Amino acid sequence: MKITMKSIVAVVLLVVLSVPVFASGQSEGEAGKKAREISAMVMQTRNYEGLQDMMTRMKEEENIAVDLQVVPDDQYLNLIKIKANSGEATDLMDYNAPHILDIFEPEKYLVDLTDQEWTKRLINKEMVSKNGKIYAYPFLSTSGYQAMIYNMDVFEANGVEVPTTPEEFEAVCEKLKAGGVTPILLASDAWVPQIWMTSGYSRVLGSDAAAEDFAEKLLSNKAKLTDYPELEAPLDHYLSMFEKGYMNDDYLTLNIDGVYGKLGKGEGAMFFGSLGLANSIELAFPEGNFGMFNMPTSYDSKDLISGGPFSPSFVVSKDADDLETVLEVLNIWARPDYASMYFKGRPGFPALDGVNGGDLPPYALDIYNKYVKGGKVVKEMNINLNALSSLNPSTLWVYYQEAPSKGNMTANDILVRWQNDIEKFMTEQKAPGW
Amino acid sequence: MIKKESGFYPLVLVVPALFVFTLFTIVPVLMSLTYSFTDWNIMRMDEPEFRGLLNYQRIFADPIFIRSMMNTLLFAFSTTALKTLFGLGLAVLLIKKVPGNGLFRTLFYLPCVLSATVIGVLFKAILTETGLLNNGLQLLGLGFLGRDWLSSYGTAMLSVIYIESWMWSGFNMMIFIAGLQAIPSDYMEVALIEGAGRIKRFFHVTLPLLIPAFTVVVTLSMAGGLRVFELVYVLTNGGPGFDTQVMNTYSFRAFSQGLLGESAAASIVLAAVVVTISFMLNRYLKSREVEL
Amino acid sequence: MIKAKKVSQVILFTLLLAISLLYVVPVIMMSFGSLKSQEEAIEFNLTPPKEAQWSNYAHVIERGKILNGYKNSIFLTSVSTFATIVIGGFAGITISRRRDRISSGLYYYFLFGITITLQIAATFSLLKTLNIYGTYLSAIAIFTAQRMPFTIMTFTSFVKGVPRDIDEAAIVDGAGVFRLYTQILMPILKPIILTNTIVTIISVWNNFNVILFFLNSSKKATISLTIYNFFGMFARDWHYVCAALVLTILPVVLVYLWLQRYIVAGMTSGAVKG
Repeated sequence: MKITMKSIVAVVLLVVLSVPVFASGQSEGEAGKKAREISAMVMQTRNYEGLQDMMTRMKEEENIAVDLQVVPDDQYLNLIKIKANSGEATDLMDYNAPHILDIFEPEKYLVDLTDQEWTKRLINKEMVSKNGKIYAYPFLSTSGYQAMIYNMDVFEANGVEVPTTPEEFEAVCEKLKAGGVTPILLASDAWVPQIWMTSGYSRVLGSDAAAEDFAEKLLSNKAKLTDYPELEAPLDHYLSMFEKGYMNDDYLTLNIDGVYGKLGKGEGAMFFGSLGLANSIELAFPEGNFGMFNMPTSYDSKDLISGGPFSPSFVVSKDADDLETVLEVLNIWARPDYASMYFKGRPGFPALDGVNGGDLPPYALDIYNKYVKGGKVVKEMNINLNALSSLNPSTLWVYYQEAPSKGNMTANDILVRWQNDIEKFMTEQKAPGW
Repeated sequence: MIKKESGFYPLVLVVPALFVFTLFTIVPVLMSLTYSFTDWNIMRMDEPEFRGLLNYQRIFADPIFIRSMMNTLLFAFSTTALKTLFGLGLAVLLIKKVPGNGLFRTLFYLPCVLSATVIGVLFKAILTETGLLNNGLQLLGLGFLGRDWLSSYGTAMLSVIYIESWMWSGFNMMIFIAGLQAIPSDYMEVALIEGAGRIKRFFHVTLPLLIPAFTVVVTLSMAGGLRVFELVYVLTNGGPGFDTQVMNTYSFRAFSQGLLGESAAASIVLAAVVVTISFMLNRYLKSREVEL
Repeated sequence: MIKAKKVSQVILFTLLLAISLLYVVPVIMMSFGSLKSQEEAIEFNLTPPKEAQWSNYAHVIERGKILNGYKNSIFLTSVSTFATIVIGGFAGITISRRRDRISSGLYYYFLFGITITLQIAATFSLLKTLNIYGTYLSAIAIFTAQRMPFTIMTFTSFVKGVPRDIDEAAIVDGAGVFRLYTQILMPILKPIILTNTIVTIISVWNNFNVILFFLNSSKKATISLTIYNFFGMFARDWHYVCAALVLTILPVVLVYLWLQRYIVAGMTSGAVKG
């Protein structure tokens, strides 16, 4: 085939000219309703099938389309911050509440949703409130609890039972190790190892009140991390898991999918995660038998479980052009028939009364009955330290991986380094007290 | 005459290029330069305040930045050497008449058509503990060499360097083939008549005449190597720990913490390094070029 | 003598074949993966699929809004490439043909561009100030600006090798500047135009950051960003991920295969005869 300049120009022109043609071929509205559109941004891993189904249905029934921008997780925070700070925010923005309410000053950036009808049905109002006003539409009332996920078949094959004391926990690990199974799996994704500590810091402080007091002082420069030597305990415990050889060797490269695979296939026995992660494992291995238990530790004698009272949520930007439609969308989503769709394949705790969250696995209900009803839940530390959510992933969370692989930091070293990071970060933002 | 000639080619025709390039490449750099002396922060984008050299002092006091500088230099120099060597080697093999010549050329150039996303997904899978590379080593009876390639500094850096060289050797090969084809055959004939052996001919006739090709290859590879971002980002994201951070990922890390002034300072330092090294190399190679 | 030559040819061929293994293995792995069933694809290896599952592609195209991504990629890539060649080509020819200080100064000014990295935050505020944030225009302008150094560098060198007699003959015949550039020189410059076309298409098609940070609607997302629509959703479904990757690179690979034989010719006079 011989190429002439003319043919190239012709191809280019053809392509350029044809684009508007394809673009104009969009269908006219359904059922005579006026076509409307709003814009939204969502994190790549949160673009659940259920959410997509809700949007498809809304387009069909109400003729409201959502221009949904799907953003890779690691770029997401940068992008919403830079957009919101320059008046380019999308109408709806996905993020975890309450975190989002600390990332943006709600009064300045977000629409007050307090008067919306659906807020009366909120099960956990506190999670989406700041200064007494409601600023976010959540899907869940809690993301669940953080605990050890385990493969029941592996436990049975190795003749071990769910441990209830720190000593039993060690014994279980030893026995599994001797049986040729990796006792505990850890993933290379930076947000995985930190689950140990966000849970541990809260558990060691012993109550929400103590944890909130600590966070308030730390963030306003009234106290330093080194004033709380007890925080070293969860770190020491985490680091000791490596020293004793309980963790998988490839914890720096085995990604979360790899962990699911090893746990599902029984190459590993346990994984410290959350209810949401347990759900993902069940989806990947529908035939497997999994369970969850609260990890017994020597630093928490009260046997508290840490919970994540946070939820994927949408906030409404003050830049929204057609606020009326945006609010209408939230109203539609809040209807039980819509809101229940969100839980397709992913059972959970719905944010609103009257919504069906799907069938929770038995271990989730056990935890709920034992810990939630028994008042033995503390908020995970990340909730209290929301203000640091764009600092920690590229600092602290990396230290958690660096310390065991290089053996270059003790628990104290990590905390000292983190304190320095916090000082710089807060000073640069000119946060009050710094 | 010369004046008149120049006059026929109106400078106006450079204006569109000048305009677009200045506005969208140079202006942002100048803005970054300005912002690098301020406390510009993502949460306060409208109110940067002047703070002198503080951002520069900070990054130079940060061991992670120093490390990222060392990595950048290591990466740029070793990939430039490898890419040049592989590129030249492939060109020398393919300048001869071999069956499938065209197919091989096409194939060797192919990796630089792939996007970083694709490279990232594929090579992360190849380099895991149970990945293709270790399985292959096992088959060859070299199982003892198997390891978790991206989990320690040495092998992670080595992998990234290798993959970058793999991607761009074919590009350099094309330039070298072009250079080899451009060598007039009479030079070779003279050398043949003088009885020069094959190796002698290569080193004394071919290589010196290839210097223009070297200039292009080395300059482009060096500038590309110093600015590396995507490949490191998708393969190691600067890890394990901060071991494989390079200057461009360091700048991005500051950006993601909202420290826009500091991020700008790091990218300005990077630009200065690239300019210095590329231009020094370019001048050196230009001075060695022989006129045909 | 002939026999020795044959033997050395065989050795050479075998060597090249061995090297090409390094090049085809990842591509084969991806192509096989895209046709496997879910269970098979978990083992990311070189085993061929038991039965080719073409439905993987159908699934990905349907869920991933691939067609919209293609549409935008084709639009942005072709316009940016066209602008790059025209604007950069005109500048390159002019700079090369003029023999004065200004043009050599301009040459180095453009060359300086190869040392520069994308300044995300600064570019963001620039686009806001110009009031073109989020538009196709902004992305096209950025891409074109990014391609200027390489394009101008290669055009300048290539034009040096074109005898001035051609220009002079045309001028004597009464050709104006525009006719000289477009009808007389451009056809002679075909190799370098095609080389730059390929290189520009590849870099724009694969670009990710500019689209992510500077366009503001999913309707404008290109294929390199669109595939993130289901990266999250299909995280464990390697067969879909592979199919998506194949779909992302296929068009640009085809264009490359179509135009690639001009690269050497373009490089010869564009880069080497510096």
